[in-house]
Amino acid sequence: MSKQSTENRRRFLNQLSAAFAAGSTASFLPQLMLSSKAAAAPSAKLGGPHRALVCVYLGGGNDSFNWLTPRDSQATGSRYDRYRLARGGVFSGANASGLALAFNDLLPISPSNMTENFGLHPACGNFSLTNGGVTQNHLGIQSLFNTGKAAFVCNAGTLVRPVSRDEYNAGSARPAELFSHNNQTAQWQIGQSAINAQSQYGWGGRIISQVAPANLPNGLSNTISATGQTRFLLGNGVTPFQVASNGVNLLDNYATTGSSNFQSQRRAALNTLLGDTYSQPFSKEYASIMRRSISVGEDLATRLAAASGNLSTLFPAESSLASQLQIVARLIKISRSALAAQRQVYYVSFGSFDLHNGMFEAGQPVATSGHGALLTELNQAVGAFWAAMNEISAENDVTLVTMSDFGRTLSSNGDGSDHAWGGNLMVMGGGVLGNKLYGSYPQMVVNNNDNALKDWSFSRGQYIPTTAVDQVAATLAKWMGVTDTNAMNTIFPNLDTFGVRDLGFMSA
Amino acid sequence: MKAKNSRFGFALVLSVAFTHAESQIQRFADASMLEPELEQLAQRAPNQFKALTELGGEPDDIIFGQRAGNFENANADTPANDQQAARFLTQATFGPTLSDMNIVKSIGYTAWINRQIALAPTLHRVELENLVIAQLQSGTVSATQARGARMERWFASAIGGSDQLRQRMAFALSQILVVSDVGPLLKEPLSVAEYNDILTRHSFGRYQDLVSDVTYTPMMGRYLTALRNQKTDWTLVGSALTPSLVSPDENFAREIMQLFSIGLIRRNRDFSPVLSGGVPVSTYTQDIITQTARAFTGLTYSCSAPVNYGAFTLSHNCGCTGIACNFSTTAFFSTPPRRPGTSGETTPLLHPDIYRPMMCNPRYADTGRSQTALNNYAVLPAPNNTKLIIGGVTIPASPAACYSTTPAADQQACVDYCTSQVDTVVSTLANHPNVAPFMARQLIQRFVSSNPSAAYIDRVAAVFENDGSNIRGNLGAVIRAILLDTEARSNTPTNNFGKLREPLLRLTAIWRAFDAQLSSSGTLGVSAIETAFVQRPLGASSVFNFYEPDFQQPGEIANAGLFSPELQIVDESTAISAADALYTFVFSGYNTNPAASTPFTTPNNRAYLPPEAIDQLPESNSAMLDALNTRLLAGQMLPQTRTTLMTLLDVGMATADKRRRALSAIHLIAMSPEFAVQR
Repeated sequence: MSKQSTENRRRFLNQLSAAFAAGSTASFLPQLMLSSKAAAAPSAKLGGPHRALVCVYLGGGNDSFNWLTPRDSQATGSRYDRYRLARGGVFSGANASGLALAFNDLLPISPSNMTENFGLHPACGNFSLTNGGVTQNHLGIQSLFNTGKAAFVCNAGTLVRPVSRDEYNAGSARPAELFSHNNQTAQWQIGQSAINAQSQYGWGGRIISQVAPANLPNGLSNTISATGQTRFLLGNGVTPFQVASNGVNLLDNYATTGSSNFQSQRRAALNTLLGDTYSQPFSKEYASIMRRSISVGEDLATRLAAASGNLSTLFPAESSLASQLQIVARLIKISRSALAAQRQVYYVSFGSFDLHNGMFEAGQPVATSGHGALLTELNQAVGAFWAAMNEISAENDVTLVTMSDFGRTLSSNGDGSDHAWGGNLMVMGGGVLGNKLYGSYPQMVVNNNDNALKDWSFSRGQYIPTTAVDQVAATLAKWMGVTDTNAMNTIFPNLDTFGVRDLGFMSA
Repeated sequence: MKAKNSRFGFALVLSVAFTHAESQIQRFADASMLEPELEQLAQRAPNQFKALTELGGEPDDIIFGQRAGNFENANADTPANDQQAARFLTQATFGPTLSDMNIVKSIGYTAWINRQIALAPTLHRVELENLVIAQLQSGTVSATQARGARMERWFASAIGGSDQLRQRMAFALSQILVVSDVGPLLKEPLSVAEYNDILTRHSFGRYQDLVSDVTYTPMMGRYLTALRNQKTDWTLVGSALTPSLVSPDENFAREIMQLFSIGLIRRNRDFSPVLSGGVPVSTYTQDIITQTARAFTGLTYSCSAPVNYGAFTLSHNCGCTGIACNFSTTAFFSTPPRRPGTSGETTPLLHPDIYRPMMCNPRYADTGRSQTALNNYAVLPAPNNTKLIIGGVTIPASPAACYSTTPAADQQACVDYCTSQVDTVVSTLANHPNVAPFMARQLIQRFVSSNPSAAYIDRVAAVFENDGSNIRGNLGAVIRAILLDTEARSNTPTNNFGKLREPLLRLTAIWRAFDAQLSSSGTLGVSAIETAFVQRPLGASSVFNFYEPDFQQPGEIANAGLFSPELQIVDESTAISAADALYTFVFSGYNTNPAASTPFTTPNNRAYLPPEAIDQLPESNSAMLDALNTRLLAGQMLPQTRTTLMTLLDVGMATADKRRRALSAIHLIAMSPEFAVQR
């Protein structure tokens, strides 16, 4: 029987604003000084067409072995059979602690580089949206994968160096504070887990430092968050701009030309206050945020409000993630045209994937309840975003990548799973060499120590990653234009430790 | 003194009583003798304010530790002027009021704190429950509406509660031992209010008692999924003793250590990391988490009698009574009921078992024994018989075999085992050396400064370790030490001293400074406050709170090695949404058209700054700014700011009436870089 079986764990974050839901993804390792700023001078900035990277952060630790799952056969000893065993059997009313998805519920995929079939969570199908009498059919992740627009990187995670289970047990170097939400989030975002790597900069921001000016001529940063603070977008001299999921918040009642209630006079006073010098560091920072917000925000709001700032693609209603990806799509649209942006990195997030309980909801459809509810929201937001990129002919110039704190235990805690280490992530876009699995999909064996297969897990099925965050990020950085080896090493100084510098999932 | 028909007059009325009693109070050298006197004073509050005092429950306080922190100079215990009083009250309350400033000036900081500690707690759950019951008897009320009512109650206490320091402490604790209504408690404002009450009752009590109640409350049990957490069952498969595939949930075990007590890294008492070979030493390993999770097993909702709520009764049918419930599988999986709505909607009225402390079912608790009669529930072979938790503490196996049909003679021993292993973890953590610096630093961050010196943390942590009466974790003594410390009280703070005001505290400070009043419908208009302020009391987006104590704003702040927790939720988007909301509240009710025939109309859904409070400000622009400087900025307004505002009022708004000039200045100050920070 399950804990809290009657409690309906919903996508509660949707009920809050995106900024409110941003949560803890931006914090730093506890109370240790930051490393000094990256010293290398940026290489020559790129010219040429626009490219953008969009990070979708799945807060809380996505149980990604139930997102991408073996689906070879149900025979004893098959990959799927091992998965089913490790997860305590298929969830059902009679097996409420089981975490496995039923073989026939999985949406089949046939990765072109694998001999065996895999399956996607039933949340990943095609779907249609209707609004105001208009209906649009969107592709889901299964179709995006099958048509070569999406790929997965398997068992990726934070690593200091490749490590076997024996080496781990012997005390080999490992990322600080494994299994902890905020620490692992930070390391995914920094893109390097070398011991004491506590840079204040994330790999999204570091890419921009190398390939683009920090800001566009109108002051808009080339790194943009639709979900509040995030270290991912910070680079040396690169400060992200934060938008709300419904657009830009404008200061009311302070119009420069307003005559009612002395608006213009008050605005002048405000401008003076915000332009003054403050020695107290928090006052100074607040003034800087307010100035940036007002000057850039007013320009952006005008552009977004114009017809050229809108899209006809329908996005799911009442979804925090969809709203965030919608504003990102609109910003990409105006960035490509009016703002002539060349390289940008965006960041959106939603959660909570921290399903210590409620992985399934008895009596509810697997595709749309529990974990399925979260993956449905992800699937529909991603599908709509793909459609929007096609609408503005940016589908080959925009790559979306998912990240999450960590994978989760294969073994059940009764009705959910606990914090683990390696997990699967998705890359999606016209530049992705899709319909393939990259990295190495684990054997799905609890407590495995197979050096020949490099398949290592702990007692609850916490998998040691076999692909490093650094490698995933570097592959994307190269596509974004970081082609110089030294520049790449500046962003990912630990990259050579992992051997393969380019995982090969992106076209040139 | 105006007689406003509003509960926000409460603090004011009490303060009058305080002032009258001043000569008596001065006679008592030992502050503890003050308590009965103060209670009598509190009871003189007028009837319309009585509701708030009646909500007061029994505080779980240790009344007095004798140690008052690093405070030596008796003369400096009294603020020299309004500005110093306002500065102290900015740290210790939801914002200075004129009356509180007068009290602090007359009795001094220490006596003010002691009075505050002695006041009965203003609690929320009972009042909210009565409101819901009354509503349900005459109609319907949705969970969402009740959540709005919870917000109204919380803010009413924050603005009008006389127990300001306690309310601030509860708010601070709610940001450290986080339970949020974002999650499974979304539709249970009564449970969330009860959690707030737990924190409020313990605000000046012992830390260990606080953590114990937090551990046993089903609100935490659900938020961090320890409710119905079950052991791994070991049974015989053939002749081999074999574990089931289910392992205990590690969620609460991890976060109680990482976030509620000791943190990830071992600390010296001044919070500096303990290093080994230059590398910080971790407090625990994943294995400790897994083993501690085994101790947090077997807890579930309690099972008690039907409850009468006037016209209706809620029964929690567990099919058992007394200790039999601890062994009932039905009871273990029984969820306390909710009063159904007349048309099937989710109402907020719940059977109290849903917020009462959890009970233990030893069958599901990890007792270090097998789960099969085939070997007589034998003690498991090592190491599975014991749990090795933090600090090298080992929890041995239960002497008694515990299962669903445990004989009566062993039942109490089983229940005792189950709770004692939870208590062992709690007391081991509460006595861990990290707790003092961990809690001292975070509480200083919430009240005084984001970057306290190591010496400041050390002084407060020392009081945490021993309040002077050999009591550890006396939170009343700790807050006294925090507020009276020379670093907090110095009138010449260093440049980096201070903290960004929490967004909600900007709003409450404005309201309290000008005696804000309820709307004509009796509300403040705060039911969805987070949309503008990115903060809702007990509504953080995760157990990591609205922001983290280690957040460092990138750029100059991070480069300087400074921490800036609150900046984590202030960005280009939210800075503006807060500024806009503050404008709405500052101008609430005022017609901004100078020619309007009704310059002020009492708003029907939003609190307002009463015209009297604005009209009482000095007439001249210069004196008005002086008054605003004192009340809102503790007299710390920079000359450049004063020049800018004077120019606006004298020149730009020369033709404006006084109210408009005052309100404009208030709002500009409210979103100014100076007011953004409390120093």
